[in-house]
Amino acid sequence: MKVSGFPSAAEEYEKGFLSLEELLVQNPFSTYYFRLKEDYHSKLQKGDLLIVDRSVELSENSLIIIELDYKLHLGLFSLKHDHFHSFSMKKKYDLSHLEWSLWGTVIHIIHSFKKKQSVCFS
Amino acid sequence: MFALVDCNSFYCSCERLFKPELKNHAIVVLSNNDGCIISRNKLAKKLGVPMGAPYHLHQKFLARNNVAVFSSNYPLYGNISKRVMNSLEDFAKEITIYSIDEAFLEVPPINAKDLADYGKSIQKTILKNIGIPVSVGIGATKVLAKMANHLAKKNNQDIFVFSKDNLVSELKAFPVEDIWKIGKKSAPKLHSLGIKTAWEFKNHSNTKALRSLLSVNGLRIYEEINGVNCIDLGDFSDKKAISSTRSFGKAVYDIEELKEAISVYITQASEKLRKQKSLASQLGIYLRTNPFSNNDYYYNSSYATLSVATDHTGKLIATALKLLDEIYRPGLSYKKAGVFLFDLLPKSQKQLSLLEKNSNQDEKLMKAIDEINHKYRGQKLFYASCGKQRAWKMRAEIKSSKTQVRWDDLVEV
Repeated sequence: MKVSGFPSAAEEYEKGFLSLEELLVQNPFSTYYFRLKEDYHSKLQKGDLLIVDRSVELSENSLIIIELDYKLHLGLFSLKHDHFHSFSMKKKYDLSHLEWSLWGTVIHIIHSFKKKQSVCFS
Repeated sequence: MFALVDCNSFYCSCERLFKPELKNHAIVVLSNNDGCIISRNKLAKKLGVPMGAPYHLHQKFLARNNVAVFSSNYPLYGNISKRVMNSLEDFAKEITIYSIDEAFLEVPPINAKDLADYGKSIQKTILKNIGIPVSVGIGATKVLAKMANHLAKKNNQDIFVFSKDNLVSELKAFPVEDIWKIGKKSAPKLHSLGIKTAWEFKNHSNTKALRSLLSVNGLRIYEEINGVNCIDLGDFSDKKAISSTRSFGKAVYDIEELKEAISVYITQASEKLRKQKSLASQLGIYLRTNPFSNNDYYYNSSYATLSVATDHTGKLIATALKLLDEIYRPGLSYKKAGVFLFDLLPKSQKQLSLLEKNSNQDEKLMKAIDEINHKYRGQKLFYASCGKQRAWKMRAEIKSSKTQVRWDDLVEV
């Protein structure tokens, strides 16, 4: 790119553009991405992008992914009651009696209003 | 103090991470072209699947025992490796990445009794944050850390620390051939001196005899077992030669297809060359047919010296294709080809030839191609001689998806 004429008065203040990654991903090395398989409710729709940080500690009413019965489940976790409401199975589980493990905590959901869900370069 | 952190059955662990259905399942991962078994998880080892074994010999056994088999998925393993290595940086001032799944850490000054807890916190953090199980070996030198790691795995533990209390008994039980880098060549020599265990090696008083039997590296291992740090892994980082060589997925007869393969291999090798900021002065290629088929075996190679050392993909391809014309014999079924770049010199030492124009433009072109291919993850921009069909490409029939590497391949929940 060539610039001619007068230098911009804003030149010294230009830091480039805002980066979504900077805003959404605090721990890049423990952050993984998933997609929603189907519509779970009005706020969780098929194709939505989930940003999952494994380093986040479990807390009350967090949206988490767990491993249970040889499957990944997305759902809401209640620390107080040790309950897990699985969206994929549409069912509540009492985790105190089950063998399960935490996969990670959903920290953001990105919903796209564009028809095609993702960009493809190949 | 050093810690060696090693990811357990790394490729299998990466496959397992996104597949909960593989819990309590034996897993193996195959090498390029689905040739050999190169990673086995604990359950696969328990079944007696041998490391490095040809896949086709064990295919039925694996199927019968319901073992999950995967082609290697290097984009995924590279992604996970980067996460592990970067997370390890929180635990030490200095870390040396030794391979895709191992790194040496310089342990910060802490009390000897706290070393096990230090190892434990590394293991816990990597498992929680990345999802990969690791084992940690801690010792006074790199060789001892590597040996400690071996003991951790052998004892089915995550951590092993060499301490004043266990060093003697553990070294007495440690076969000398299992010491890192001693290997098959040096072990018989040490046996001839009556050295069977690491303890006997450490305390061998006849250093004159050792010096005459062992190489410089062998003597360094001796020093390291005695607690003297003398191995610097940094010396090995830049490669003196770069190769790209692979078997074809199917037999190749046609020179046009071979041209494509050679062009792709050169493209890959010259990318590596530019990454380490070197120039190649010599280039070699080779071709061979299948040595196990009944037809006549043909192997040939050819070399060329480049008038000016270069890292320019186009120039290297042009030279390689000339060499291919020399050694190609029609009517044969080729199984493998490879290219080598050697006599590498640092780019900073580039000498200009009188005949060559100062190639500032070429330099810019290569930089632009690398940047574009990096940005769009993969070879989007390439020389036309690489072809688009690539029918000769390797077999990778049971490859898992490129999750975490391509937006279109994410796992669904």
